[in-house]
Amino acid sequence: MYSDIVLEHFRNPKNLGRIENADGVGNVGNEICGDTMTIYIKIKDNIIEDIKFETLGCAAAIASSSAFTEMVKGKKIEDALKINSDDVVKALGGLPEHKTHCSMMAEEALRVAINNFREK
Amino acid sequence: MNSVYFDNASSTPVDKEVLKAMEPLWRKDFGNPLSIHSFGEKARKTLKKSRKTVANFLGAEEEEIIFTSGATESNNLAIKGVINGIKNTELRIKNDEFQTTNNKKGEKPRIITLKIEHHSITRPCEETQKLGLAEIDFLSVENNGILNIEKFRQAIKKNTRLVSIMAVNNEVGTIQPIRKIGHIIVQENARRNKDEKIYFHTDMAQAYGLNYKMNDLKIDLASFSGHKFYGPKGAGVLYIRKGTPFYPIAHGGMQENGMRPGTQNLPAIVGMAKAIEILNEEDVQKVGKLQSILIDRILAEIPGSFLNGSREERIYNNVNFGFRGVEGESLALKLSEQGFAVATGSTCAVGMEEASHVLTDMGLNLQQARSSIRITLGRQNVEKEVRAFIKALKTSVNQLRNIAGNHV
Repeated sequence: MYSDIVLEHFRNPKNLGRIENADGVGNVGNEICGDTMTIYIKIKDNIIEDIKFETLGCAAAIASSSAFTEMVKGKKIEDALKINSDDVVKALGGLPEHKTHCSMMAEEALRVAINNFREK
Repeated sequence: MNSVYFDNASSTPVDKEVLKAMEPLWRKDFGNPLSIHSFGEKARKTLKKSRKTVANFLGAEEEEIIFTSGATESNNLAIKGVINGIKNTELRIKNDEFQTTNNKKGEKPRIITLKIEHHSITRPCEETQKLGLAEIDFLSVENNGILNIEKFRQAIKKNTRLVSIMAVNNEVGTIQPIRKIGHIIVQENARRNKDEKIYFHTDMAQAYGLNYKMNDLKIDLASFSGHKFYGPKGAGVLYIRKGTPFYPIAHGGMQENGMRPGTQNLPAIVGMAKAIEILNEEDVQKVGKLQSILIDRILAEIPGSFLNGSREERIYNNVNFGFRGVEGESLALKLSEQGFAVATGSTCAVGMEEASHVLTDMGLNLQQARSSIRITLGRQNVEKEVRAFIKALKTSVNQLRNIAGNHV
């Protein structure tokens, strides 16, 4: 059902965990399937210096979290915000049709985390 | 790595004896049971023998056994066949200008069924409603996954004509009070005219190992599937008690008394009959022991685990657990990577993203429902596999809780 890239991220997720004293934290949930996710960011000079995630969800949600955090890490905030779920799906080598909604959680969580950082 | 199969509610491996019994039917004794020649004669005899085996097993008569392709077809036939049969009876009475005793107000027949039925019951019920042929009363079960018999009693209305309640739930393995339901319907029918009778159907696809005598249980129709008890896929049974109103959903042949036309799948039917012949109580006991080990050890050794469905009123091969802070599909995938095949809910619901309709009807919230996996044992499983499984389960749950972090 899943591509090898998805399975690899699922087995060994990148950027897993939390950041103590994070500059921004984003919590989101998917009402349809009940999955939830948190993104923690460290920002320095407008750049996402560090990012970590915690996700309760299916393999697609976990792999999307992992791939997305890899893609935005080290990027300028503006550039990171341009990366969307389609890019994540592509990077994962595709997702089953009924799982594409799982890839949307990470970009949403990042947006919430960045708003949280800006409000501080 | 060798895979250990713990998804026996989904399908079971064909028994070697079953395979042997089917072998001659492909090339040597391949005739059509309706043919006049010797090949047809042989096939006719073989078909009759299989029908007799099934009939004996159910305490039924041969003419009450309809061979189908499996439980989904049997369930569809039961719901649509009876509702259309009732409609057909009314039409016939009108055409003959007899006085209709029932349905004077043009009331539609009502069906009582459960929200936790397999989709091959709930969907045909909804279809008959959509077409204006019947009204449906969907009953909820209690938190333990079992129907409260008083709720059933209260749900019976004057125009209730069909009850379809599964013997064993396919996801959580809970055993419904079939015998009590059957006897309530008999009492109710004693007070009714013949053309107002209630008919009782039960889906027994997951009920292998229980009492199957139709007369004891007061069942009018029952569905079975061969591949759930070590027979081949593509063979099933619908038991229909004599005198039950029935109108076929396919037409064009006299097979199965015209109730299910089309050349019978004789190899699969013979295989299914063989599978019934070799069912035995020792296997039930053996699998039940493995189930106890699994349930006891998971409850004791994995914190935040909860058993879905009654432990006592439960089929001996089903184990359904939820784990706090874990998503079921992820867990099934982790287990699969360690060589264990388990299911998330019903296999037929894979590809649907909503939480299990069974678990939510039992009062679980979305996350609890989605945290659950179904482990169903078979007679080929051994204790060593169960012990290894528990070890893999602990590792997997811990890994996923680590990924979930603060969400656990």
